[in-house]
Amino acid sequence: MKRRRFLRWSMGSLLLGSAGLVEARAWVPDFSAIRLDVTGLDAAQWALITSVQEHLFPSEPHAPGAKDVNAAQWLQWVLSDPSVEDTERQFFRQGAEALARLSQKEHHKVFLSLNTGEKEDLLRKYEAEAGGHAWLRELLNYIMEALLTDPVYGGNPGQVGWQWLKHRPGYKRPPADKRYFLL
Amino acid sequence: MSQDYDVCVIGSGAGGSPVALTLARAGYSVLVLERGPWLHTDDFYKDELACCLRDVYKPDRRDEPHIIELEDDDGGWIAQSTANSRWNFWNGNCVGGASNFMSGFFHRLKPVDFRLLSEFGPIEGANVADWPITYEDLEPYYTRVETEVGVSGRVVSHPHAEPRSTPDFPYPPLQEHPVASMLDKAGKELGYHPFPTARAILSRPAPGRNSCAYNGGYCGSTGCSTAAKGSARVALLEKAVKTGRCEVRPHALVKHILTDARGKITGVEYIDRSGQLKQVDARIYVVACQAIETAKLLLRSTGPKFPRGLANSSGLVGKNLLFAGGGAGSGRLMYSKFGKDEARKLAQTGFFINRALQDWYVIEDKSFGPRQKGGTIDFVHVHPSPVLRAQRQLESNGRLNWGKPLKRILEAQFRDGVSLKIEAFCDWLPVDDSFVSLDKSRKDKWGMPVARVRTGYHVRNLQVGWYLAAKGAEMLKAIGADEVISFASGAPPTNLLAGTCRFGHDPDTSVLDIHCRAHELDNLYVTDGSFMPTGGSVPYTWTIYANAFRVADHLVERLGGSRRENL
Repeated sequence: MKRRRFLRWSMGSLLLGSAGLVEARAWVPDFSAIRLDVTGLDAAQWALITSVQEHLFPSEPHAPGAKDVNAAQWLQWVLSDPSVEDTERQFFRQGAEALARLSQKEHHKVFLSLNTGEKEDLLRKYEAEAGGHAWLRELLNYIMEALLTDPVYGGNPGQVGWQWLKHRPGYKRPPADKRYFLL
Repeated sequence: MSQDYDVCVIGSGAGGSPVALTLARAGYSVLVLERGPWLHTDDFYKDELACCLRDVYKPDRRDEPHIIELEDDDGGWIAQSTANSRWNFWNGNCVGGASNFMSGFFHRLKPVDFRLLSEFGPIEGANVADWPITYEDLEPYYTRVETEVGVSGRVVSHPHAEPRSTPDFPYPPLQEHPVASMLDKAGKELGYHPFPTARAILSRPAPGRNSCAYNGGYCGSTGCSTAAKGSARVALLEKAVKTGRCEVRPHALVKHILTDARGKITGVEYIDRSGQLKQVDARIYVVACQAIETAKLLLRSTGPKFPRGLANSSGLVGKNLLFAGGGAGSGRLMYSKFGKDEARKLAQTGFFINRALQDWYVIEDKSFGPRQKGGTIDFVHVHPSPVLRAQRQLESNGRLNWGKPLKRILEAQFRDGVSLKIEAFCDWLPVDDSFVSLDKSRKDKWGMPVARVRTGYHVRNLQVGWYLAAKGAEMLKAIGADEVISFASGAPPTNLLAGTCRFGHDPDTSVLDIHCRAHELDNLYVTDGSFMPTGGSVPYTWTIYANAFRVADHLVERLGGSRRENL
């Protein structure tokens, strides 16, 4: 049941039912329906996470980065799932708060205003802290999901991640109406 | 007294489906109860989120955890719940069970596996026992599986090849990746005997099933989109349903097998999709829920005459749990070592390597010790799931990789070569410290006790695992692979389960008789991998299928023979 509720959310205004499922086949991921208040983090915390993601996985002319694969929206989508436990949302929120504090302590500045070298030093320092390593690892795990899962879920747009790494998807790929939470 | 069905089968996987098909064909009414949903071929996709990252085909571990006991450094046991851990002891909760998600590497047991005790003698600290049947008893059923389930391959003689009653497989071998012939050549030079691994995958269509779509290593963990893989669902159960005499009831979780004061089974009680308790009865009951769940069901099915659980007067239900022992290894063939054309062919990983070595199925190597049981080495592609492959590159020596350096690592891993894997299988010796029991306090969301699984292993598993993995590594080096490593581990592979209800002649030392009938209940059978007293050194599925067909033939005979002529 939890997954069904999730479906209703992630399909935006589409209603369930046979007509809804026909439309679902043509469904394209629409992250604009995400409501930040259900992710457990506020806009400032998401701005910080987005900035960290872009540092952890930067865009390059020949290789997609976090922002090219919708990494921030991906994580927001994951945390919007009603079946995800609140402890998971807390984990990301508390990690963001701790990093924000560390930035103020070390540089008297918010993380977003640091230059690339400062960000690198700060994140390495954060990695050495209790909890910092696990938090960064989780961010990286979800960036890999956004980069390399089937585009039907909203990451890896236009197969940009697969093409970069020359990955061939298996047969068959999931259509929109057979995404995992619809099974 | 009239019963609802002739036979009630609990569990619809590799152990239950051969019984359902055989009995339905013989004219008997069969009910199959399956706790999971009935997913069809159209529901299976190569979807890494579904199979591997969100575990869609398994119950939510927060609702239904296992308590796992791992040995600590001082010989004690640390218990941890799987609710929020990386461990998952569930496999394929849907019609067809875990067979939907197998890789389908099919090896038969060998004659020596049926008489480990008499062949090699006792091993200190292990409960090794001979089987009450021989390879010759099971051989016709291995052969039947080749046609019923659909096994493709090519018979090649080698020193430890088991005898077989037909000259070759009913389906020709699948298309092979260039590494196959490289391994053949290397093996010849080293004096080893690589042979084609048979697969439960169709190389040409069969009624209702298409042939393989060639996704390479994607088979394991994902359901098949063409029905080429010989899952119990497409290969057996769908045929059983077509007879009109087999009903499959999904979303039916059996809570108890009910018994009366005289010790007779009066029915089974199950929870349906809406949470309601339902009852059904039959002349014969067949339990096939996979080793851990079967033990759990029997142990919780107490009754006036069975205070310790059903079929458990000996106290052996849940004991001698088997995983699969062994080692593993990997290496990479770098494209830069090959010409452009060759490199292009190597990069086409859709085809299968399908090579194995059994030169050390019995190890006669004085430098290793006295003559003893060894095992099987399979050569496979690294599973292509890209997220999991990428996530393995996120850390080096405890430090996280990120930024442009991480991106260069990913490019090298994915684009510069083909990653190969060694999977070495040896016996997981039955030991006192590998068993299933009911947790005394933790309950699942249904209010039933959760399983507590102790995962102790015999050091011999590790020794043989290291030995075999090193031989595999030697082969990888011989074909020019770089970054070759090999190792063994005592960690239990949670998808390879057997034991917990071993069969034998003596009711004091076994749970089931030679027909896999409970010694102490006339109409209760167990047909999943639970019956195995020792596991052999190959994946279990083919043996589970074969034995379930053997028991099914016994059941037809017991019920009065085939009724087909009279239908």
